[in-house]
Amino acid sequence: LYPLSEIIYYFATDLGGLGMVANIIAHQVTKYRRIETIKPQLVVVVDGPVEDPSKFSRLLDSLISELLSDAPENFRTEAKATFSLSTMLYLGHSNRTARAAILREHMAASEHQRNRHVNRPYFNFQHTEAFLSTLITKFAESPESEFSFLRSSRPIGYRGMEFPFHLTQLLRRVPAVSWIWSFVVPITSASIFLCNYPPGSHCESSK
Amino acid sequence: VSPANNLENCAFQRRANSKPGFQADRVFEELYEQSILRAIKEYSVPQDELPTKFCRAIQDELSRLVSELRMDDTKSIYLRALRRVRSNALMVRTATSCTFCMHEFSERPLQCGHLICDTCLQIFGTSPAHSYSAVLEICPLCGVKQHCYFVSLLPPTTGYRLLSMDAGDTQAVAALTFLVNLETSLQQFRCPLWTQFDLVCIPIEG
Repeated sequence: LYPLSEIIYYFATDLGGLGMVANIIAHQVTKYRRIETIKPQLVVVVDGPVEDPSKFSRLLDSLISELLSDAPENFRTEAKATFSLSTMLYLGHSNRTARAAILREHMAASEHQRNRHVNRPYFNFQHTEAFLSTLITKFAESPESEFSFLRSSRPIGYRGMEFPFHLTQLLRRVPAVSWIWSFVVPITSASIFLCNYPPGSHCESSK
Repeated sequence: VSPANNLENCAFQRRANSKPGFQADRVFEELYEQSILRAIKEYSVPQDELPTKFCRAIQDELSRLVSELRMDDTKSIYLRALRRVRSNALMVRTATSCTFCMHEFSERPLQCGHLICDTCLQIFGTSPAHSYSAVLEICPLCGVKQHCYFVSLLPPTTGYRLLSMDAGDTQAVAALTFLVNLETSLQQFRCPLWTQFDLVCIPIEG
């Protein structure tokens, strides 16, 4: 919304990290027409605990300088003078215990990511945890009744609960009974096939 | 837990597509068979064999698709299956259901009229700028080319986005002119104003 807004926020986590933020800022200062009288303030919001906030500002400034290094010196100076990068906001905790907890979480997550990549178990720890909680609750409350592993191990929305409604909608739209065999059967089986693979696994080749 | 081999079919246990324990028939019977029978019964008379035949046809087709996993990935097999019905696809458009997964509701119509949900959009589209947007070039079902079908998906830190303008009486003219100009300015970024807000509140008289 620049120049309507004088303050521009960049959410580093959403944009893919400080590197991407630097890329975007470098792109913006070189591509778009600047208005001399307005000097926008750029606020980069980063996630996580930080001991020395100025480190991030310096790192970002170096990244932008590096990205503009091919431009002539006077252009570089002029471009960097058109904005002010002075404020950084931090989300999350900043005390030592919280930092340690987040670090542990990150280490566990990276280890988990590696295992996931090597072994390709498609569902994550949170899913397994939620599934096991459901399982324990079920067996604690009514151990005699039947428990469907298949249904309970799937995320909400992919348990087939709304499936009859969607299939009825499709059946109502076909112009003739013969279309049930030529159209509804192939498309329904293909959709069931698609939905039984978790997001992200669709391009995994068995090879 | 009985029978013990139920565990083999748990989705969270499954690994690569070639995991040998997966039984498509078992999944179908547990999750879909009754649903399909309920849906098709509306179109059949008592004693009719249509529901059973319909159910078996879907099950057989599903087994065939699963057997292809030995050679190809899920998305390619799915797209090949859709290509077989492409000639008739333009004549069938659902009102609220995602035409592709048939498991989710959708309010995103493609230019051909087929609805697509966010999950399917991420599977079949590409993300040019960052991971929270998707571009779809053709409809995976009917193959109709989509012109500039760019969708912004909400990133995790996004809350509800509200645009509120005070525009009573004659101020309405100024507010609307401002919005028109803003929309025109944003055209170069392929970023329509309406995609940036979940709710717009402008009190306007008359």
